Amino acid sequence: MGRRVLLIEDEPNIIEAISFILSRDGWTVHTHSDGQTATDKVREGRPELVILDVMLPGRSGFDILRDLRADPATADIPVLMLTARGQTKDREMADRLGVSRFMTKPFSNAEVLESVRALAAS
Amino acid sequence: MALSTGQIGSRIRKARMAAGVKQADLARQVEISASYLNLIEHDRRRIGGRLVNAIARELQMDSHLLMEGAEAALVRDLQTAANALDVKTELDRIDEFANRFPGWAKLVAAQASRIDLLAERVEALTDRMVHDPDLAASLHETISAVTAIRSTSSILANGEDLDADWRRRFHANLYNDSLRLAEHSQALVDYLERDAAEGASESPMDEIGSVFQAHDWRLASLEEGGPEAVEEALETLFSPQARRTARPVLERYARDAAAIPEAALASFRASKDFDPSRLAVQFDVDLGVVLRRLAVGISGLGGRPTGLVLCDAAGAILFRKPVAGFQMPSLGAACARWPVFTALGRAGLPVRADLVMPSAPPARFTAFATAEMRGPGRFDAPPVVEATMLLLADAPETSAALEVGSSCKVCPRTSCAARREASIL
Repeated sequence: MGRRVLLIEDEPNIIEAISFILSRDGWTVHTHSDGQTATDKVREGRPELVILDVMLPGRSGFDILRDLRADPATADIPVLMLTARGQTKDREMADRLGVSRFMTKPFSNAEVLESVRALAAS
Repeated sequence: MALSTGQIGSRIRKARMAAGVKQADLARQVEISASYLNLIEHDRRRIGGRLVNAIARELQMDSHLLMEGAEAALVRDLQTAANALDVKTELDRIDEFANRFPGWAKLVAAQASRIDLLAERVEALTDRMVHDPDLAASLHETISAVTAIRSTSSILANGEDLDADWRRRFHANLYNDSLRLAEHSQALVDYLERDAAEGASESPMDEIGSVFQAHDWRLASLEEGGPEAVEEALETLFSPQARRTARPVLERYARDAAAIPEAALASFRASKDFDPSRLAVQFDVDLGVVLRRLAVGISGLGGRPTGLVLCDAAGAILFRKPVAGFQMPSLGAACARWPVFTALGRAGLPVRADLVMPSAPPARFTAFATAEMRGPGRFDAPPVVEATMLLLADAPETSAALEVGSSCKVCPRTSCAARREASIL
């Protein structure tokens, strides 16, 4: 059983590509696409690491991040946030909410691996 | 600098009485004797700029409302211009400059205000790029497709030992994403072209918006001159084509300003927790008047930026003051869920609601809306009803907020019961 990462993203083809490259790297990838229930999913699954998209149906990634940081059970899980817009405002907001690291779309596969490895090591 | 006396004393007196402050109390607050303040109030003593500022502060109003005369206004504009850029100027000789080179001084002031206006427009455009849900959604789709394509194609290109199933799957994904990308980039181009075409000709309604924006949503001549000043304002501010449309807007503004003078609004503006109906009772006016008065200017309410929407009984928008994050359609009908339309259906029963826009992150507003009859009722004609909605930005997050949008066409809320046409997103 490899190490577990939870990918919260709603684009099926992005999910498929990221799942593929992370699985190759030895990760067990769980995926979730609904913003409303994402926080519960993290609490239940206790992944080692969360990859979180900003734009999700139902609830924004910012709201999810806020909830994760507010709950002692999930406050320490590293969160890698995917922002479609590399806007400073989005980044500042995520920073305030306690994000661990960013990745701006469109990212390369090498960046994904590098970020995930770095966060897992920390 | 001493200002020419003019009417400044009586202005101070009027403002002080409107704020319900005793002469002796104001004098003590600004550290002068009551008898000296009395002389000033009767225009029998000149008054320095610093004292005007102190008095304005105590009365919680803008000092330029107390000052008067082109000369004082010019000097103030020059001071603003001098502070705007990091260039050392002879600030102590500002009067001399204004007196000796009145033309050049006016040019400096006019240029400074033009720079402000342009900076504001740039900001508004930037703001629009960021907050326009149409554009944001379109960009989001495009970037999502590009992200998927980049990631998928690089898996394929790396020539790893993919089995045939995976290879087929990734090829299919690539194909689908490329279709999606083509579609969304076309939508994006259409959007930008449409926008450029709209910008080319300004409608009377747009011109009214531009004029109000250029004056920071406050028309000084109507604040002071009342209904008599409408004609002059129409001629000086609007193109001949726009005057017919602008007339009722300015007449309404002048009536409102006469009903609730600006000085009386100052203390109300600063308070964070307020109820507009209190002012309506205090001034014995319709609630709509209060909502419109509270939206005047750019200083906001309790630090929160304000927006305004007026519409007639058919829901056609008569006037709009945009507020960042609350997208108002420039063409066609707005979102049917806006409280201003709810108010239309229940004239005389105001609506207060928390709203959330479908932007990312969601923009939240507090709305106050009311619909009222204009003029006395008649037996032989339907009533003329107008609805007013005041918007306050930066509302706190609440789960009870009403989900609204801009207009159906650019709204992502697919399952909305009030939807009247499909979204192009």
